[in-house]
Amino acid sequence: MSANRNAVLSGARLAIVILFFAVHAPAQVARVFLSGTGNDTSDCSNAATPCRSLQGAVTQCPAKGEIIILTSGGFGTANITKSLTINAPDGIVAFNARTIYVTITPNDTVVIRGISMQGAVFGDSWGIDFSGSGTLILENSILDGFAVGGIRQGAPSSTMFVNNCEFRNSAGSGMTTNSSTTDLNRLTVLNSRFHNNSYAGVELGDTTNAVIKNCVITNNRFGVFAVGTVRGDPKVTIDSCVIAHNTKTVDSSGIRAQDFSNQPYDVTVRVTNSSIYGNTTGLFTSNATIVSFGTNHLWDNGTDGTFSSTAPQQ
Amino acid sequence: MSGKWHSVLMRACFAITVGFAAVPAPAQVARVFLSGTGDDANDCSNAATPCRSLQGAVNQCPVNGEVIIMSSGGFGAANITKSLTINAPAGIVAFDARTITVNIGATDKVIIRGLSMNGSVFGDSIGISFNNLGTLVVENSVIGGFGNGILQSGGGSNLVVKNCDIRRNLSGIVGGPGTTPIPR
Repeated sequence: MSANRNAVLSGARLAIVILFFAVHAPAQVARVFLSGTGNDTSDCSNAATPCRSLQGAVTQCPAKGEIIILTSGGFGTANITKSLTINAPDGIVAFNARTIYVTITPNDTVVIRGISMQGAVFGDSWGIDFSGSGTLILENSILDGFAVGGIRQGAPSSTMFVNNCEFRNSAGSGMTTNSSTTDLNRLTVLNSRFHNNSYAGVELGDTTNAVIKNCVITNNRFGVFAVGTVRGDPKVTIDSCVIAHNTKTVDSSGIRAQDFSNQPYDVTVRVTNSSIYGNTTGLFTSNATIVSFGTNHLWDNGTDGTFSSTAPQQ
Repeated sequence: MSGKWHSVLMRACFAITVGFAAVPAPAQVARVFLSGTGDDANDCSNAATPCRSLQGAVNQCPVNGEVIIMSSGGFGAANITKSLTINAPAGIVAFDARTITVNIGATDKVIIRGLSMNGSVFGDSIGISFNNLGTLVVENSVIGGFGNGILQSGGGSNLVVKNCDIRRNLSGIVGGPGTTPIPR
């Protein structure tokens, strides 16, 4: 009887040990799975047992690995502190109402592809808050209705690439860069829309070097706002964009370049192949320059404003 | 009694033979199926019972056939030695962290469509190693984090790359006979 009980107990212990290893020590993989019907206590490296929350998947994802979103769902806030890719393919709504924090170091890269963010219900400040350093790539995503702004590149010496995204209806700016230091930030935005944000569509502060290409920037208070501070002055190139209908307030403008700091006044916006129309003021400068390459359309604004200078074609 | 036993044994042997034949010799088809929740021991020509690994699907795929990826997953290394197409449609993440080797003859053709390759976790040197003859077409794919994204090292071969994102490798595409992979 006692021997029997011992055997049963040993068997139970063995089963517990096996179960423990089955969940906590899967074979190394480069990807984990996430689904609206998953469970974070699963071994999420198995496509049949995905995680439920973004944070659960981030925690189980190896550094430099990939989170594959299998089915639609709401995935919640996450703090990403290592290189990884979040990949939601076509046909899936990877919904998120809470802030995603990206806090990485200079050699890290985070890729976020295909998420639908809507902040209006919970009132979180930011859709994506990028601090630390490193590189963030955001593709095929919508950031809508956040209380302070869609995305903030606050990481000094960081690089951000944005392609095919939409930033709209935030109570602040669709996109904000402010490194809070004198270090250079690099920003590239392609094929994106900035619409109906209460402050700027794109707000570029401190020492940001930005390229904005093939974008439509409409119905904001300011379309593009380049702001010089005591920490540095942004340099912005706007290429092949439409900046229109930015008329929210009497001081609204399509492009606003302004330096609040002491001299030298180095805020520079360069514009080529773009249309600027239907804004309260087309171009507004204060201690700053907006340079044309002579290939823009500036017309039919309440006040057009003028380019500071026209650079010759080369 | 003995005759009855013999009959039972014969039936059992017949059943085993039929069962055995059902898996390795399905009716001829032009395509096999692959899924993150499949099993390579399946008859992968049935869409209800897909394979689990790319190599498993490649093994079961007929020459000139098509590997159809049905759901997202990580599909692992594969060595392709015959003409075939790997087809992951939009809406699926066909992930692969390991090297795919394409080693085919001069008149063979391999098409790879829709993969998301990321080599940075395991550190494989090459994403797609195209190391002999024939034609390789790579479409709609992301290849990142390898030493060489695609290495074309066979003389007289044809490589066609269309609508791909080849990034964060040491070299994206490396071509030319005698080319050696970049270690990483």
